[in-house]
Amino acid sequence: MTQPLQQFLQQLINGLSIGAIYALIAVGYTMVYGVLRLINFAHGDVYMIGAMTGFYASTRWFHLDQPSWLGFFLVLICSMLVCGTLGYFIEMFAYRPLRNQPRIVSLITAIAVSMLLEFGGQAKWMFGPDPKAFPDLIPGVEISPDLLHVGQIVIGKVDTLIFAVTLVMMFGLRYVVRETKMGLALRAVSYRFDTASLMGVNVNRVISFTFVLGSVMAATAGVLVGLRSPKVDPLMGLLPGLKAFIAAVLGGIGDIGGAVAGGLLLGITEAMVVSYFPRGSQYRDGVAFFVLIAILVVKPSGLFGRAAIDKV
Amino acid sequence: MELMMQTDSLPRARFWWLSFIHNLWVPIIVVGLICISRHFEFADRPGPYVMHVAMIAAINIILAVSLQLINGVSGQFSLGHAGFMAVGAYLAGYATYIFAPWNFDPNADYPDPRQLFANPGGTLACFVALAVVAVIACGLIAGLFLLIRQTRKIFSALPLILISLLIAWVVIDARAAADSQTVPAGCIWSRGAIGLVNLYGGILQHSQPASLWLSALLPDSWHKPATLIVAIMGGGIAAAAAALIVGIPTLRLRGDYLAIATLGFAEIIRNIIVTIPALGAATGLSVNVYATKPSPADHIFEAFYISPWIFGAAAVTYILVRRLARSSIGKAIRTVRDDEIAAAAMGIDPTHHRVIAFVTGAFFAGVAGALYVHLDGYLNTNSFSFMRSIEIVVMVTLGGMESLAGAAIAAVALTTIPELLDNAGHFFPAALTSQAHWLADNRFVVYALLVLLIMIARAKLKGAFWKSSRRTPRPIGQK
Repeated sequence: MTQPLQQFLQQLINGLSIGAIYALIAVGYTMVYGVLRLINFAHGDVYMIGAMTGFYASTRWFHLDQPSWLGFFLVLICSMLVCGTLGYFIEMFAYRPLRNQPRIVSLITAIAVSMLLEFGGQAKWMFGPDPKAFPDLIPGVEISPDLLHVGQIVIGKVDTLIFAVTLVMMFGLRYVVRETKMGLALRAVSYRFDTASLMGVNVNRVISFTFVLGSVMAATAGVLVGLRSPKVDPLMGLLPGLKAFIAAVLGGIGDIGGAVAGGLLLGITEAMVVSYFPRGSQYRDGVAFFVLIAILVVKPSGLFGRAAIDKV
Repeated sequence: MELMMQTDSLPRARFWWLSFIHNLWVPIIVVGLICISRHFEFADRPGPYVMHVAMIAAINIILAVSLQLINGVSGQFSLGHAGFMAVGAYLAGYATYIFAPWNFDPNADYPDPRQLFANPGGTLACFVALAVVAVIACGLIAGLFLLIRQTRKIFSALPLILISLLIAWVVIDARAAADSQTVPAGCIWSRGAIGLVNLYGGILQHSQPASLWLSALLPDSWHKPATLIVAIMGGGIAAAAAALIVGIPTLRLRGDYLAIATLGFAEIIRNIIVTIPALGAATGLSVNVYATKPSPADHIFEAFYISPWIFGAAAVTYILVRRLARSSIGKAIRTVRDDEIAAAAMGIDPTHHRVIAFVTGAFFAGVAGALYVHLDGYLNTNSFSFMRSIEIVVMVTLGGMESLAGAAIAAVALTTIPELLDNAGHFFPAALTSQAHWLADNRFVVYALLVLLIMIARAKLKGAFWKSSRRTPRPIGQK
């Protein structure tokens, strides 16, 4: 393989690994937007709570000194439980009282919830502002982090795991949304809120379920990112949260498949810009926002979304 | 426009100046701040600490009132106010920084080095040169995009393809230029960028005699105030221009999309600043504060020479924004907020009025940034992060939607209360000091809870307090 091709493929792999994380978070944004037409700003912080729970579960609660698969799944499930509960209570206490309010009001509330989680997390009585070293949970990573070499291309164990777990979660989500009764109700509510409630769908339960589902996906992303980058801190959710939102908009907000595609596309774009643009790492965050502005100006409904018509 | 002409042709009321009494809310707060800050000194705080807090409070008044114009009066939701503040602060700081003494050869023989510390003509020339370069660059880019847009007549997907190709070309161009020592002749984009930078430098250099002549026209004692005025106005106008550029693509968007787009632009502005070495890049910019303050050579101990400017600017901002909000243009802006389609049917151009509110708000944010930089003397992009924008949004929200006085009061409260809690030993019994310190440490948690509770209470206790609009027009015939 030639050198440029190798570099390109390596960056593609890096991009897919970041993009999978974005996709997991973006799914939560897009489902909540689809059901409530609300940008859940706090979603990025739910992801932070997921990573933090992973840290505390592995070091303080279960004392996982040796990396093991059992420990990894234990931490993952623990983190999912905590975040699912958190998502349920956020919806119940912050968003449910404001459901009939203008969208700006719920947006401000979402920002307030996000602030509460971020600054509450930074407080000394919660996590504290200092970054924490996420432990190794996967056996064999500290011996050699690489799974296999194809020519000069390195495929890391953690990257493979991230991709595999994301794939499993996405197929699980697809099953839930397409095949179960709750999924049918979810689609009905996102299609037409009032009509769904007339048809006997318990809208409150469906919305709670959406939040729990999105938070569980975010918790997975949090634990996976803890494996990938060794430091977790209370403000880690801010930027990935915004970027996942961008991914959701890129794919067409409200569309689950679009969110996944948008997340992967954004991850790949970022990796490419970092590697190909001169001094590219400086532009890593700017590029994501540039993509957002470009998509909002050119096609606000996103790549796969349908254009909504404003009715008088 | 029709509305405006109609009110202009009306005869002016006899006691029109009485209307200024309505505008006195914030001047009263500002005078209060000055009085308080003059008379309080803490033994354990070095220097006029209270005065410093009061000045930060006044800067926050400017920011909150101008954001209230965008968020409350005009009904757009901007999350990027700190970005416009950054534009104003950086350009105002830079325009005085390049005349800092350490930028000149210390061995050179200048008639009076203090003249160089404050060079109003030079600062003006710097802004003019920046404006020329910006107009050329934006004009070329806009022309190119309009040209590309025309190609959709040939094939509907052609503009998208051409823009993608253009971006790829620019990337390849920049990469080739970065890889080689000398810029190759083929890299027209890099050469163009270098040419614009050279043009800027050339204008600055060749206008030096003119700018020195301009400075010499003013008496010596006017140099520093004049520099400050030029820097403030330049920072404000630069922020307004940035808002115009930002507004053209984004003000088509509504509600939450607009919020995210403004947030994105603020982050892009921050990202661009970090990549420019002349603006200090990631390490920050140490600004030449002696351009506006008495220098040590003057042997005047007046650390807060800038305070009247800041307090004055807060009062003037409030009065101007309030006048605008109460004028016929302000009525039109609110009409667009309440019902865009109805407003358009009445002959009010929605986009035009949205842009007026957005650009005016950004102008004052730039003014606040320019004042902030000359107060603090040091700039870092971390001061203008998303969190700063959120802080201003919290002020506006706590103040109540559409209420300018509320925003100003909330700005003062949110600035001073943490400081009061920090110095709790001076105000509270000793038993409460530790609780006060705890509250000061966790103030952002408290803000978040307050905003959350206010939002929920607004929804639950409708009309009980913080009404969304004070003078709701009643339909005709209804009591």
